[in-house]
Amino acid sequence: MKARLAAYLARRFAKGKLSELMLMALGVAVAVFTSATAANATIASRDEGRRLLETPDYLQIQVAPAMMMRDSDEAIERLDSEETVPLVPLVDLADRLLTEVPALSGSFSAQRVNFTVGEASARGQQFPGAGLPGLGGLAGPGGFEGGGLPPEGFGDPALAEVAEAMLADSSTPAMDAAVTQEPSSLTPPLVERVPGARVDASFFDSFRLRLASGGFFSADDITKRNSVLVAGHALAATLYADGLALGRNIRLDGVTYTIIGVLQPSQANFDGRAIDDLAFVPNTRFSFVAGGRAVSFSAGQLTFMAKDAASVDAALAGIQSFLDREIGAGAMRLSSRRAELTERLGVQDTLFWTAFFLAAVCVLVAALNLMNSAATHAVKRRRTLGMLRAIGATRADTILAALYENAIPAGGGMLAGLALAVILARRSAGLLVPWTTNLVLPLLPGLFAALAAALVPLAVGIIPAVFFSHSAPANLVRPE
Amino acid sequence: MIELKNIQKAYGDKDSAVHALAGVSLTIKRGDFVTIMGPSGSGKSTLLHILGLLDQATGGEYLLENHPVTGLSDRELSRIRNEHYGFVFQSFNLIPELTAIENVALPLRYAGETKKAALARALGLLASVGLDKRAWHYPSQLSGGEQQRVAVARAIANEPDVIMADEPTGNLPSGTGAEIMRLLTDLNAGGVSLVVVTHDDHIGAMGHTRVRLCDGLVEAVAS
Repeated sequence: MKARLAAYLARRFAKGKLSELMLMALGVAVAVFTSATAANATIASRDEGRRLLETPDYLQIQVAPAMMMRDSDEAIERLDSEETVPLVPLVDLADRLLTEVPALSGSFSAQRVNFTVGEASARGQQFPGAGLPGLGGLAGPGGFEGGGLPPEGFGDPALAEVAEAMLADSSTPAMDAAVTQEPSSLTPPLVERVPGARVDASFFDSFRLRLASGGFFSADDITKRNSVLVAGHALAATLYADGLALGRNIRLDGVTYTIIGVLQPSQANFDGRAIDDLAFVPNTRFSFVAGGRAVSFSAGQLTFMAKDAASVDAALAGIQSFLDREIGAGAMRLSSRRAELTERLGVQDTLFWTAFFLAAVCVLVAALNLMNSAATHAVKRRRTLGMLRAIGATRADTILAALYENAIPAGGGMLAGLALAVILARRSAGLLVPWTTNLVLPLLPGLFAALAAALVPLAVGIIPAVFFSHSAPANLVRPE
Repeated sequence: MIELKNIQKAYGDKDSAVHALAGVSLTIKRGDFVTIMGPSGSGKSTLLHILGLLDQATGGEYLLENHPVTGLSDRELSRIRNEHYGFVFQSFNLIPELTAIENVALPLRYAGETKKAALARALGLLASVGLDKRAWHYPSQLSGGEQQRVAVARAIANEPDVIMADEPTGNLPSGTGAEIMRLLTDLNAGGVSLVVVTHDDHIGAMGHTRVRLCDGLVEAVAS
């Protein structure tokens, strides 16, 4: 009965100042919760960044002529000055670099592309050898006969043998179905664009990728510009819901590729895209004679792989030293995803501490305001508390009423703050964790923080009531 | 009913104590109307507060129905205030967040009445002071006289034995003050004891027992 009466009084007392106190409690809750959430998100993001630093994707060091890099103004300036820009036979240098820089474990050439999907071709059709789009004049007749399977001499010979055996064996319905369908019965993939990459044969080793079925393309596929394709695990599943990607043909950018391999699921990324989502086709290397010597280059960027995370800096220094010596200082520019990520992690740390400091200031100001307001309200309630005592309320009754009175705005503020902070945290999660979308923001610390934000003003609000309860009612009802 | 024997009230340390009451003895009988007068600082309000168990004496003995109140717990003192005493103050002391009817119902709620029963009785009490039409108004929406009438209705909610009024007309115009005094004397006529602290000689003269205080001591008692 007394508790219900106290709750009733508290509701009436809180009514007039609910919005004021709730706003301040809201401020405390939001500031504390968002800082806690931001802290957790940043820590999780930093942990994810540190984990990524150990993955092959972040062991890469890209090498490109300085003119091809982002500084177009500098490039134009150099061209305007008619400065001689050396044609750099990078691919030729790659083997020497791998020998001379012990911190390197390998290199590959790769170029991210987005393919447009055309209709699938059927077995038995002859595919026009379009070679590589955009390099038509240099490319040879890259097509082949034989439709669904790579022809003899392409890719892994063992794979070809296995494939032939499977074709001969009618008890292997999967492959049989894939290669014997009539053109009209082939269903084109239900996607219009496929993210992919032109890669050389070293790419798969560099990323430590494993096959779920089929084989990788070989160095021979590169030199002969064969139209073969290795599909990432998720891409294969997306393109062919029946799970029978191997041996099928797919037409991308006007070229019909045969899927000769499907990768196992991988956590790795290449150039910001998950390996699982990509289609890999050979990145052709071109050779010609220039200046009296054979020069070869590839269309993609040359990438070196450091042996491990600890070797990246040494590898960078080694490559830079080699290139400066062999080609000339400033002609080549190196870029390391690890360095970029490390720099970003540093910025993130600064951002975190700045946000944390600002949130702490907000919390402090809001808490002080709330404490002051709660105390002022309680002091103003002095005579009311005295009158309640005069008409029969015990000390405990007045404390209970004060407790309830402060619990209403504190609880309301906490809940409102919690809801707002969750929305803010979710909205900001993408900014905090750009390289992953599946990070779960930890709510428990935030809940504790919000609870603390509610309990502090609650405690502060009832302190005057407790103090007054020990005073004689006469002192409370007396005019000030 | 109430007997004070050599009641003392001192504030501050032992060496620098200020004696608000230096030894007051007083008896209030059932149905009595006692007025307490005296200059400012003479201890009138302090005496009323001690009578109403709103404050505790630092010396002397307080007997209620021949039982000493010294040593009673907070709960027991609260019960006595709730059931036996009613208070009317100069500044009304209504709770501003509650309507008139809710203010009047509050002592009933502390006595254990349900909200519905308390509000029903409170409405009747407001009607008895002529304010049933203003029952759901907040104190800020009432005039001073109306507020004091609400305070009187609240004071009599639990049918107390004694009503203690501290300058009940001090903040009111004379006409309104007279109305309030008429309400109180009517109650007294009905058998409720009345103790009124006042500066007003006219009101002071209305008491059956008239006490004059000076420097914390009873200077004169007249009947």
